Amino acid sequence: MERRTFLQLLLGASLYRPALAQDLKLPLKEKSVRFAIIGDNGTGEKPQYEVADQMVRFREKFPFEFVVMLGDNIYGGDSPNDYKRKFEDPYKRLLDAGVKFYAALGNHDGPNQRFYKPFNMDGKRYYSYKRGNAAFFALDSNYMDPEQVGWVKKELSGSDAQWKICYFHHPLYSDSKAHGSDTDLRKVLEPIFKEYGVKIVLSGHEHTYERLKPQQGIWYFVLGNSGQLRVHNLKKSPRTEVGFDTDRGFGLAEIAGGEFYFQIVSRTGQTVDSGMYPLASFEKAKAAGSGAQ
Amino acid sequence: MTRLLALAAFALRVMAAQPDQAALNEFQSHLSAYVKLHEKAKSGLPTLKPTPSPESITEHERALAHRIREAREREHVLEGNIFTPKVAAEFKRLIAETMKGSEGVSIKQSLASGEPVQLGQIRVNQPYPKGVPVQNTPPTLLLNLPKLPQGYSYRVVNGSLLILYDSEANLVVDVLPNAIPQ
Repeated sequence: MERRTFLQLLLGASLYRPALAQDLKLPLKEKSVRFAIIGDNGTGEKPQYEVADQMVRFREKFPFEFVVMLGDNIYGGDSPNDYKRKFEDPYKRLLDAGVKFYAALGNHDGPNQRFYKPFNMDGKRYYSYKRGNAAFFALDSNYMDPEQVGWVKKELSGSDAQWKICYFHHPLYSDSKAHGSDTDLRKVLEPIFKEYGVKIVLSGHEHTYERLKPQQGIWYFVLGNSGQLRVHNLKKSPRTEVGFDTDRGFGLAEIAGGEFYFQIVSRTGQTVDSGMYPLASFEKAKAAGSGAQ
Repeated sequence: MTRLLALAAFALRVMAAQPDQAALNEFQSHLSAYVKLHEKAKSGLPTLKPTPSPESITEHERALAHRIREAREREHVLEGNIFTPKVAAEFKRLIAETMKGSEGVSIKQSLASGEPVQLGQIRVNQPYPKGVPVQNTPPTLLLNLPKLPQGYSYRVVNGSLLILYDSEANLVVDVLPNAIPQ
């Protein structure tokens, strides 16, 4: 091989590396709460495995402790083989490393998934747990009956966590063309979130990624592209902060005291969004309000 | 005279808004009978607790559904076993009332943003088909329907059909056609 060709190859390799370099944007602060986010993941197809591989790579630099699942955990039935192909196999290395998964039910999920121990739902459709100064509330948006609404109010009002994070499948705000916002669900949940200081809301259902500008003082993320994808399905609106609809991906989040850091990573390892919300900004956003439809 | 007419119209509106308690009692009575049958069928099975074994979950679901179906077949349970004509009429009225005005707009919007499910024919005592998504049931609609015990839900399919669903057994308990006004 000629010296020049060799140098070109070397240069090419060095230029290629940054795309795969798992460029971490999170600060890795001491005693922070670290987790990953996936939604609409359970297809059992190659892209889901590729996203899972990327999660493993990022975990080497950002050792997240658990994963929140935004629903559609297992598509197309829930036979034992489905659980294996669409959950146990793709996330094997994370499961083996002791990473816990906390699932919410999507519209493609059988309700008895709540009994599947690795989903940590303890047989319940909706439940909560705490990590550090953050409390997580996994809800069942397929069936938001008055009993669940009462539970949400009680749990949120009784929580003294600095960060209250709710997650469920159907988005209250969405600019994707496939489904859009669930305004009836919003009408019921958003006043409760507002009253009891929910800061972050995570949803899936749309097979895209969208981060919205604060709505009623709450930061909304829609991430439903960890297995599924609807290319060019996002029709950004003035309330869209950042959107991504050309590949699959997952989220990483770090809560350090009064700061919430996030990074959204594509299937190929590129960072498509990142940032930080300080707690103080929520108060400012709440005061400013925003009534987008 | 105008006052009298206004008063009569108001009285009619109040009467229309009042639930038919006899129909709702009938619904509760049929539902309680089903819940009892479900519990009896379950009593011979190991309790389903969180398990790492998907086989245990699917086996529990299958065995419970089988027992319930057998018991109901012995009793010749047919469509309309819970949504009797009287109950069906009251449910349709409650739903129609709820869907008037702005509530109806957000309910329809919520149904559209969920994932409308087309299933063809739905039969009582049959499992909800595996792999078929669930249409979310809008919260405002649920707010105006009789409450169900844990493990049971109302599901909307084929746009206008309401089914009563037993999630632990994955069974269609009863079907109410033309429940959702189009």
